[in-house]
Amino acid sequence: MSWKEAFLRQALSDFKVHEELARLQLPSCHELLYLQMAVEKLGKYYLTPNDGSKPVPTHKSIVNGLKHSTSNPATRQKMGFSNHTIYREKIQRICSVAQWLEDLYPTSDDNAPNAKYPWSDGTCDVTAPCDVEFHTQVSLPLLKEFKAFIKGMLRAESTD
Amino acid sequence: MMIYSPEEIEAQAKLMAEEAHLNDPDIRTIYFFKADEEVRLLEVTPSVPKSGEMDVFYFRPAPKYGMPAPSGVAMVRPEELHSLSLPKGWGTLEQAKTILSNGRA
Repeated sequence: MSWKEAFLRQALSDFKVHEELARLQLPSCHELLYLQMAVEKLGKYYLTPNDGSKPVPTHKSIVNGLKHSTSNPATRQKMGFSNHTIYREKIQRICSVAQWLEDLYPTSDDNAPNAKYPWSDGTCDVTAPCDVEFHTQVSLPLLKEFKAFIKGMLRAESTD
Repeated sequence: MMIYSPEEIEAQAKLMAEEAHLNDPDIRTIYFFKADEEVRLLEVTPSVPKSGEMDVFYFRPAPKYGMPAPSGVAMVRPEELHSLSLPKGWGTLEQAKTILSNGRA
């Protein structure tokens, strides 16, 4: 298996875990973390060269991955979009969710909210991700649209 | 590694450039870098975030959709075009062919 295939397989698996966690009604940081991991690996799948070499390490691949996919007629058609305007507008809409997810990656900054590690607001008060309702920070219909699109991309890339 | 004819590579480059322009009318220029083994495009558009580096996103071949060869697509904001390094092995902007300029093929 190549690096490219392996990133796609792991992205599919992470997305399945995300869907399972979403059913369990646990604190939303858990399902959000697996959604982040799935889209990060999908982004890395696109960043992995076709010659079998490893991708450049980066977390900032979601928004760019969505934008770059607009050059690929195969991805669009496999996802069932025949109308360019609808496809373009959909990507524009969901990029805001992608940006929100990218901004929530854990960083070395202890004060930055994220879905994985506790953070401080700069005082003595520390927040645990499990106490934050992340899912209320974006519109639910937009989040659903984003998840459906990512699922469609994963499916499209898994088929010839 | 498969080798493709220059005609196959350029036909796919034009198909992908047309697709990119239909999905992003803000694209100013698309450069095509010739290679035997894959299609290489650089799209100049204000609709991508400023990145400070030129990432290439790679697509597998999809012959059923007119894409027999693998491809690599980089996108860059107009103001970053001359300050960022091109992907390794792609050559220079002067060596590239412009297949879309000011929104026109």
